[in-house]
Parts: sequence; C-alpha cells; structure tokens
Amino acid sequence: MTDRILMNKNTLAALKTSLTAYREALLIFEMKEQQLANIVLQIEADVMRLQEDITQTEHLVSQWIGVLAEPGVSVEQWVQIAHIHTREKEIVGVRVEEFEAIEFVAVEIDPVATPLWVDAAVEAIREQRERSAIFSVQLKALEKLEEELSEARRMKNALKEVFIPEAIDNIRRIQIFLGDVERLSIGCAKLVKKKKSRSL
Amino acid sequence: MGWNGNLEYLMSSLPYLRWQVATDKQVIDLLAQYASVDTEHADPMQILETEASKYLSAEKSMLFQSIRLEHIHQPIFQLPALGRIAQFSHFDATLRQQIATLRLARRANQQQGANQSLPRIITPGSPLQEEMQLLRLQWDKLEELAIGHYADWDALVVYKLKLMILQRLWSFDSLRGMDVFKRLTSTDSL
Repeated sequence: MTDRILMNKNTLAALKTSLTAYREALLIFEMKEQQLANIVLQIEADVMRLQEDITQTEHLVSQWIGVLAEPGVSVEQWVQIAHIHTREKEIVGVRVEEFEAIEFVAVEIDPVATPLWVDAAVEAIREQRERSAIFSVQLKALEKLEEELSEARRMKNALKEVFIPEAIDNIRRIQIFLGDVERLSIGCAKLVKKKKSRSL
Repeated sequence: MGWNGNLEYLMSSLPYLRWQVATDKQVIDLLAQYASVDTEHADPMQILETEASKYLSAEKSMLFQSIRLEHIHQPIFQLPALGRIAQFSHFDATLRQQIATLRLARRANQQQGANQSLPRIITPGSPLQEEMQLLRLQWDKLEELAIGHYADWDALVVYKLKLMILQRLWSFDSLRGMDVFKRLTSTDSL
C-alpha cells in the first residue's frame, strides 16, 4: 500500500487529515475501551454474586429439599414462567437487555389437598428461578459487552499500531520527497540563471 | 363378617412397623420375603394389598385398596359404618383444615405484609420438619386407634395407613429432591 501512494501535496494533505481523524478515533476507542472494561468488571461481579446466591440457596434448601422427592406431588404447575420482562438499555453505545420482572402462571395451590411443604417449596423454586432469569439476562448482556470490548480493543490497537504509524511514515516520506523535489528545482533554477547571465 | 381367611395369620406375618425416619430396609425385605418377590422390585403397598385380599371379602378388599393417605380426609371415608377408617378420616380432615388455616394466614402475612397470629398446630420449622410433625400427629392418632386391635380389620386398616405414613416419610430423599430442585431452577429450564 505504502509503495503505491502518490508522492504529491494532495496526498500529503489527505494523509494529514486522515492522521488527525485517526488520532481522534483513537481517543474515542480508548475511552470506549475504558468505559466498557469498567462496566464488564461491574457486571462480572454482579454475575458472580448471583452465582453465589444461587449456590447459597441450594445449600440452604438442601436441609429440607427431600420433600420434593415425594411421589405423586409435582410442583411444576405452580412454578411455570408466564413471561420474563426485560427492557432494552444502552451502555456505551451497546444495546443490551436488562431484567425487569418475572411473571409466573397463576395457578392456585389448594391448601387442603396439597401437602404443607408445597408452599415453601414453590416459593423457594420461584425465587431461585428469578435469580436464574436475572443470571441468564446478565450473562447475555455480559457476552455482548465483552464482544464490544474486544472490538474496541482491536480498533484501538489497529489505530495505535498500524494506521497512525503508517500515516506518520507516509507523511514523512512524502515530505522528504517533496523537499528533494523542491531543492532540485531550486538548483535547476539557479543553474539556468547562471547560464543565462554568462551568455549575456 | 364374611372373611375369606384368617386375618390373624396375615397380621402376625407382617413386619412390625415403628416410627423411623430412615428407610427401614427390614420392613421391605420381610414383606418381599413374605410375598416371595425380589426385594429390589418389591412394592410394599402392593404386597400388602395382594396378601390382604386373600383374607378379605371382595367388598372389603375393594374398600381396603381404596384407602389412600392423601384421600382419607374425603367425606366418602367418614361414614359411621367404616369405624376406625371414619375416625381417622375425621381426624385427618380436621387436621387438614387447621393446616389450611395456617397456610392461608402465612400467605396473608407474606403477601400483604399482614401480621396475623398463626395457629399453633405445629412448631414452626423447615418444610421437612413441619411435614414430619404432621406425619407424627397422624401416626400417634393411628397408634391410639389401634389400641385393643391386633389382628382384625381395624388393625389391618391401621397397619396400611401406618405403612403409607412411613412410605411418605421414607420418600423424602434429599438427593432426589435436590435433583428436582436443580432441574426446575436451572437456566436451561427458563
């Protein structure tokens, strides 16, 4: 690419404009990378905290969860999810889903016909399903933000390591070439002037 | 009474049932041996019903088979002619009503932030502890109903109900319960 550039003032001006744009873009990508890195760290911490909560709940319910093994009593009908409500949110230019609420299918639990443990088990399962739903939404957002962060890093590195040094180098080469051409033309002009004055 | 055989023989052959939280392998083994079936595939309730049917009239056998702990509170089992079954049915229906009142009060307290005083039927504990308390209440009632009955129809009915209580108690397996919990709460289940 560099070998094929036109060594003239127009190219030099275009390269200088590009270099300014590259430097501005580098600043933007550096800032975006920094912001995304902070948010990714924050969401990673949230996801880890959620994972800990899920594990902790499993540990707590393990003291009594044996009741769920009772044959003939299926709690599934009472913990069915009707809808997981999310809303779109923009973080550093990235559109991600944010958890809002979880809605369960409303099925009445008969307090006479069902065992007493059903109430506590349904509540514990619903709460844990809500945690899992938040976890899942957060994880998807994290994946999207991490992808965007990688892209910002790639762009920052490309500008910093390739585009800007290349533009600087090309500008330098054109400036040297144009300097040489200018010196040569001055030399020629002087020579012509000298020859003219001798002939007079 | 129209027995088809000697209930004394059956009752004396059945393994003794005692309140035990952990699965009593001995009870299952003895019932399997009694019915000459493989212990691994033995269904204690099926064995009891099959063996009892040999000593009961067709009508009694049908009634015996229809007895289920989860349905015993229903009015169909409260006919005065049913004796001990009716007594236990009344007891269970009352207990269920009290528990229903407790559950509704708990729900109201939880959902509406109400501060209703809860009926003191059982000592508050984990769902498993509370369930065991209820089973124990049923067990104790059956022990009371069995007084003076060792080898008759009432003793057989009480035996079946006690076996069902133990089967419920033994079904509370934490590993299998945790499998169900994890299956219902994993992110894949959403």
